[in-house]
This record gives sequence, structure tokens and C-alpha cells, in this order.
Amino acid sequence: MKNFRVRLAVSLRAGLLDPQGEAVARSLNEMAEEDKEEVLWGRVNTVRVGKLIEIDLAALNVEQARVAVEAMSEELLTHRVTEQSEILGEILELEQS
Amino acid sequence: MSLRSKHFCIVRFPGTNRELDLQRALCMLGEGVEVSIIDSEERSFPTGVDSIFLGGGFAWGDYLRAGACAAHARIAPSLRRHANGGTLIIGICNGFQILTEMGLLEGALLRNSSGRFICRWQELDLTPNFNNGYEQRTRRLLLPIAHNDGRYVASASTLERLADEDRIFLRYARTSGSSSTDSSPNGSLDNIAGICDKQRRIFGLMPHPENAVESFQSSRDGLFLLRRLLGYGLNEDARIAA
Repeated sequence: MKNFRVRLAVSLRAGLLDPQGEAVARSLNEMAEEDKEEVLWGRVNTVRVGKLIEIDLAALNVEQARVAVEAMSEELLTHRVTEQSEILGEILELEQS
Repeated sequence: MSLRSKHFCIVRFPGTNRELDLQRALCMLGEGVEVSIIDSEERSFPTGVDSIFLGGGFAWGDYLRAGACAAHARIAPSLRRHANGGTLIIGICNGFQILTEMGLLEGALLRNSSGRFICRWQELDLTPNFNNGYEQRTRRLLLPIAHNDGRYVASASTLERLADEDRIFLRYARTSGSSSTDSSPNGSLDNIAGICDKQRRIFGLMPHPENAVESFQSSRDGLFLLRRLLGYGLNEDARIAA
């Protein structure tokens, strides 16, 4: 068995209201409004806030690590109705400790 | 009048905080009622339990999603067996969230549309017919709500099925004079505050009936609702109202 690190991004499905994202977008826009010279951005249209779940696990190979995390995602980490998720980037093999 | 159900059991998860209020409210329902509280790390329920309650709070800190970790507690398989076996199960607030996470009730409860924790008294409409046809009209109730994640969502087909099968037993009530069709304080679809399963044995609701049981609490509608959910008769209701 080898050790792998998998990063799973979970977010609300499109179309579902995200009050956290709305509050963050509002704050960003107020910052831009208050301090036009210092702030580097203009109007922010949408912010969606999600979760990043980092899992270190033992598996035979990268493919098995991916399948395992996809199963975890379906069983617990991602809500079947309201959320969507994807594995971010490459799955890293970790140095043996 | 004899009680249909006498042996109640409340599950206490780490983070559950209304189990004693609920125990006290259930004890007020009548003589001979037995209410036990068990830890969610147990693997089975006491013998002879005929109704199971999941109460309010923040089970497992509501980490990941409200109710998500609780849905996989050690007691969960036994709870599922009881659900399949027809034991009456009532989930209040966090308990409702846990029942949806377990898939025992459809839909999901998301962060309130306001983004705020809501704690206040709320008028609700108890749907006629939901309970043994005792009453043919909508009954207005006043109950406390206290939640962060109460926005009920479900697919259009699920909502249609819930309505067709008359399983939406509780809705946030429209205040008189308001023309808005959205009367929910939290953005719930179809103003849904409580639903049940097809067999009418599993109930989930956001308000807290256990905190509307004393005359000094503004309302005793909680006792009325608990009696209805537990299938008590009209005479019992009349006694409480008196």
C-alpha cells in the first residue's frame, strides 16, 4: 500500500441560493466602492462558497485512491441532491513516513 | 383514553441540546409514559420502544452539513431497522436534518436564505387530514423556531409527490394581510416546515413543539402537535386546550 493525498472540492449546485457567497460578494463590492484607488477589482458578479476536503489515505495505486474518494464523496462528503464535487488536480503520492 | 404509544426514546448525539426539554414535554402527555434517553454511540434501542425522537441541537457540530455525521452514528443502522419496521420516528429541527441526511425523508435543509440564525415565535399551518382525518380544516399553531439551516429544498418531482400524497403536514403560515406567497422565514420551497413519509410513520419538522408546552411560554400548541403526531384522540386535545 502507498499513501496518497486527494483534494475534493464540494460546492452547492448551480441554481441553489448560496447566502454565504452572496454576503462575501457584497463585502467585496463594498470594499471596491469604499476604496477605489487601493482595491484592484471592479464589480464582483457572483461568489459561490464551497468546501475543500483534503484526504490522506492508503491505497494500492492512484486509480484506487480516486475510486475510494469518489465512493466517500457519494456516501457522505457530497450531498446527493444539493451539492456537486470534483477531485482537484493531480492525486499526490506521499513520501513514506 | 389509552395512549397508542407509551415508551418513547430520545437519541442524544454529541451536540444534541434539547433532549431534556423534549423528555419533559413528552412526560406531560399522560400517565404511564416512559421516556428514555440513549446515547448515539449505542448500537440498539431499549426493548419495547414504540416511538423514537431525534431532538434539536447541533449533532457532531453540524460538521460537513447539518445532520451529515449524525446520519452515520453507531445507532444509525438500528434506527433504520426501526424505520423499516414501522416504529414511529419524529425528528425535530436537527433531527429533521438527520432524517433527510439518512434518506428516511426526502429533500434537504440548507442554510437559511437570509444567511442568519433565526430564533423567534412562528405561526404555522397544520395541514388537514394529515393525522387520521380528525379535523377537516387547517389549524393555525404558534411554535418557536431556532435554526441556521431550515431552508427546505427538493426536486420539482419530489415536491409534486409530497403534495399529491398529502405528506406536507406543516407549513409556515402567511401573516394576515400579506400578499406574498412566500411566508417562510428561511426560504423553504412551498413554505414547507414539516413532512412525513408515505406510511405516515416518520415525521420531520423544523419548529420546536417541546418548547411550547407551558402556559408561561406564550403557546401550548407544542403539546397539541405532539399529540397529533403521536396519534392521540380529540378528547385529549380538548383537555389540553381547556
